[in-house]
Amino acid sequence: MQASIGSLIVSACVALGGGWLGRPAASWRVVASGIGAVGAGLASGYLLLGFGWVWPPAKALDRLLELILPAALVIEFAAGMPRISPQLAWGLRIGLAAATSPVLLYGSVYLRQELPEWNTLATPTTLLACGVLLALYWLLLVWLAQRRSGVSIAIAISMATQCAGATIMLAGYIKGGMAAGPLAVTIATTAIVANLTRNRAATQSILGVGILGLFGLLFIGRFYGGLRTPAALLTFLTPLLCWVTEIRAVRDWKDWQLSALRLTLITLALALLLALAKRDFDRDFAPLLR
Amino acid sequence: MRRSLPVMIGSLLVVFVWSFASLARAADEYTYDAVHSSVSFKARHLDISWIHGRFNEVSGKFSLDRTDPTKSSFQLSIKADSVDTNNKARDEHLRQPDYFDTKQFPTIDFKSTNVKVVEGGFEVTGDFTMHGKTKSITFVLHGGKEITFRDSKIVAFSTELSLKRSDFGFDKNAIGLIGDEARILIDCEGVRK
Repeated sequence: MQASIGSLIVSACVALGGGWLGRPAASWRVVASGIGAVGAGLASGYLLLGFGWVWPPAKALDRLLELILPAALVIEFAAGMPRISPQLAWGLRIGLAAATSPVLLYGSVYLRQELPEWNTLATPTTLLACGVLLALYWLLLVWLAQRRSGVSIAIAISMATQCAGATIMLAGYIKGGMAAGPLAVTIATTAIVANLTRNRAATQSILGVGILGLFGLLFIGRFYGGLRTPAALLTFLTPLLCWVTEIRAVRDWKDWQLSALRLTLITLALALLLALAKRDFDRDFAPLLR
Repeated sequence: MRRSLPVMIGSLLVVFVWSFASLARAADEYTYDAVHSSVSFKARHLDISWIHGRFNEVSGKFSLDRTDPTKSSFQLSIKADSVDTNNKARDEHLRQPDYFDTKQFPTIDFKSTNVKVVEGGFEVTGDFTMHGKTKSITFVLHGGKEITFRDSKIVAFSTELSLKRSDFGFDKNAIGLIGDEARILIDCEGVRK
């Protein structure tokens, strides 16, 4: 809780400061203020959680926090620079999406091929499938954000991240679940502040970090923790419900109505997933705590 | 007679080389006998009782040099995934990253670096690797007497040692209900033909 509050205060202050300092806003300065706010929010949150800097990062969670998320921040910052073409920016994003799964599985029994089901065919197939899923997901949400501005997609990612944390914890991995708090709060706070200060160009870059964080946490929960594949996959895919506002019947609604529809649907879906996770916890782990 | 002299010299040479090789190979090599050995542990629960568990898949080898015991060596490798506390849900929990993180760190290993003879056994110092962290530990292995049973030479050792989980990078949030200290009990037999 203390860590989440720390992330909220720090990311809000940096985003507000960056927003004002950046006026008149060149798009790269707007993106830089958003990226700076996310980076500062995450750093302060994990510091307050007591997550120390571990080098070399031997555990998957350390690799997510020390390699993947900083790489996402750098790529999103670069993508906001005027000299970087959209094609190059997407090339970098796709490269990071492809590298995320192997980096998170580095040194584990999966890549050492010590498990019979992870053979020379299954391993590259699984890694490729994860990379394609992540890249497509990223593309779909950024595309939707470009079609209609607002904070509801970032809030959806933040809610899914918070839900992922609770689910990972209920499946038995406490530290993995705790890592979701600062990420969820930082993404939501920075997106809201960026929207309030009309620095909407920052929202797209914030999304990238949020998407990678959500994917990484669920991936770690699935491959290292006790999270089951359907729970991990459904939690990850829930923010795609934001696309429901593109169907003809509701497309012409007002912006606030569309945001409310998106967030209501996502809340319901995540509540259902949490209830299922709680049921599994009561069955498997609650007896251990008696 | 002239022809038999080189043969005799050759035979003596072979006997000499064989004897020298036997002396040089004075260390006896034993393989860990999984059927008659156990690696178990216990940890405090709520600071009032103990939870017991064991590892079901262990392998290892010992080399005992009777003429110069300091040249002896001990190696043990435990599959962390084989943790068994007689509760399936707890075992699954212990395999997760807050505890053993068995997908990232599949084995717990010990390799001796120094062996000294003490009364009743050996004082062994070595590198103990658990949860990706290696620390030097020292303990006394009781036993070492060899017996012969149905054409097999058998040697047995036992020890009990205490470790702090926090020294091996276990998550501090997972230390609380289960105490930081874990006591490890090893009773093992080594076999050679």
